[in-house]
Amino acid sequence: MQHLRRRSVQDGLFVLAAGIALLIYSLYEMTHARVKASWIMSPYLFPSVLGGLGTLLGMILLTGALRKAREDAPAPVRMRDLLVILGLSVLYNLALAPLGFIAATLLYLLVACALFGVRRPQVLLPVSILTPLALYLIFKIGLGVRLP
Amino acid sequence: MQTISGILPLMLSPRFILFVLLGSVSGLFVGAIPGLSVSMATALLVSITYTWSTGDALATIMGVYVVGVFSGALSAILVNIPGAPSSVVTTLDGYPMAKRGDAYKALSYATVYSFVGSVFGLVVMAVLARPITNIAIRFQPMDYFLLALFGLSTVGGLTSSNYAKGLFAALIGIFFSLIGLDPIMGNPRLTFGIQELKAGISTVPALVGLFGFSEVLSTVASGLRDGEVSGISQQHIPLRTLLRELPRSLWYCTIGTFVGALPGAGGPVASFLAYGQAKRLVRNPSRPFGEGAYEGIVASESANNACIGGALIPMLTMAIPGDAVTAIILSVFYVHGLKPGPTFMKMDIVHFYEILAAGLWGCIFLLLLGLLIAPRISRVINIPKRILMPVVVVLCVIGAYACNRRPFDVVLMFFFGILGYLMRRRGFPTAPVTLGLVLGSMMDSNFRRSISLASTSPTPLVTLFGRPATIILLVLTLMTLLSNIPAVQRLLRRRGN
Repeated sequence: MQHLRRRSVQDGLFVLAAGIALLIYSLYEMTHARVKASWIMSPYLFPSVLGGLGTLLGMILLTGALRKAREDAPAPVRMRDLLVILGLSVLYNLALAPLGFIAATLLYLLVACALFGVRRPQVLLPVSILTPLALYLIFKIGLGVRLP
Repeated sequence: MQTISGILPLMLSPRFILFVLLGSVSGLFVGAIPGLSVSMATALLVSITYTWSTGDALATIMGVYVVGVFSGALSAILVNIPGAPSSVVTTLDGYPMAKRGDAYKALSYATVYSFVGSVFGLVVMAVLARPITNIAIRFQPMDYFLLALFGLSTVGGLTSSNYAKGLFAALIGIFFSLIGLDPIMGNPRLTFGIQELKAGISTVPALVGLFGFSEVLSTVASGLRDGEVSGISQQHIPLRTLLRELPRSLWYCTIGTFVGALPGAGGPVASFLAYGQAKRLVRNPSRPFGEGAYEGIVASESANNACIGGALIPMLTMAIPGDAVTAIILSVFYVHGLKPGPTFMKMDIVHFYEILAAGLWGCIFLLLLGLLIAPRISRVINIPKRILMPVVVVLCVIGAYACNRRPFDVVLMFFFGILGYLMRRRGFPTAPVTLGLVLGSMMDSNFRRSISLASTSPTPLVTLFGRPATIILLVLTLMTLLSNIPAVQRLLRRRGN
């Protein structure tokens, strides 16, 4: 039960910390601004209000979490698949400039689909080859959209 | 009369109709395929259509919006997975009907009453937009600030079971909207020394990340399982039978339009409220509710589609979006240099007609596509997610990059995608982030303007809150905030008992 309640406490602490951090940062910027302005016109007036509200919400969340008897367990995460899509998406973004849109997308789709369990070449190859070509034709040629 | 003569040339323009059709067909597939959403599609369309003429862009986006909201019902009925959050209620009776072999009947009811709901909402928008504009034109900076605050306080409660989490999500959106050069003083703000952030957080990559990439991450993390599609056998349903629910549907449409017009509320809330009403109003349903009563589909689909017109009213007249999709449509306006708000109906009336005409054509296409094409696309709905998700990532990258052609925007898209995923995982809703992102900058400047005006007045409090509209908005906001405090809720329940 303690373990289950921990997530809510963590959420409350996070919101509280974020609120306090924004409040302190905004107040510091208001008082140490290079271009002096009245506090009313300071660009950091509204962020400091947000920081204050965030702090208040953090306290409310934390109080609620400490009072709560239990909470639902989170759904299990397929960590391997999540890391695969995250890692591949970053690599794909990095590969776009040197390889160009079509080659990078082809490689990305080939690897991503294969790692997600698409095994049959008669599905894997057409998807990986035809999708970038179709997207290029639709977006670049058809709609005049600049591709990365 | 003026409105009819305004939309007539557009209703007869083949080019205009073609763009609405393009959007409608896209909306049919996007809304129907679980894992793709109308918000995601409109966010992507902002970047694709920014080089187009405003009319073509609005025609396409309205087509996607109107048909996309309806087509969420297809997968809700056939696969038991709602294609859009507003179709969740449709699954309750739609899927049991499909399992019983009445998928075609369920689809027919969903189509006809989505059409009724969409037309109702758009007609209300056409009638009410001008009077609301006349009220909005008298609004002062504090009124705008409070209106936006009211919207955010509403959405915080409607999108999450934990009100504080909903409000914090809205604060996150406002925080990101404040990054960049301060609009009043011109100083860099919250940029933390990062040069690229001086231009601010572009809405499009943020929205594509929040709705597109985070959806991919959530789907992948929960396992790439595909639903089982029910078969469809064509049945003849007499029009008289179909239209028997029309009087009740008009009541659900009224609920939907009203809920849609509340800033922050939207289709999911409207369909739940209408479903509750249906349970109360229909004494002898065809089947018990939740076990395949077509009356449940009528309620849900009438209400969630009526939201479209309702959500567009505050967006056009006050630049306050009614839901996530209208928040994205608002960014289309800004990308095209338009200024929605009280002057919109005078300065840009043509674009109002374009939205209305495109919406009405969207309704016609909804009816045609829903009755003729939808029953035949059940195979497409079931594209394996292991293929679909990597393709969606590619679309997100294109969408994030296309608008400003900045590689940094792709990085931002990934950041917001991960943020959206983590928020969902921890029970923080993402819809308030969108509204905060769109409204934050406006709230900041109006807040500071009103404080500045009040500081020079001998009676600052009267200057700030002394007008009837301000008092009404302040009371509404405070009531919303108070009614979401658990202790107040318990007290009200005890009083009620």
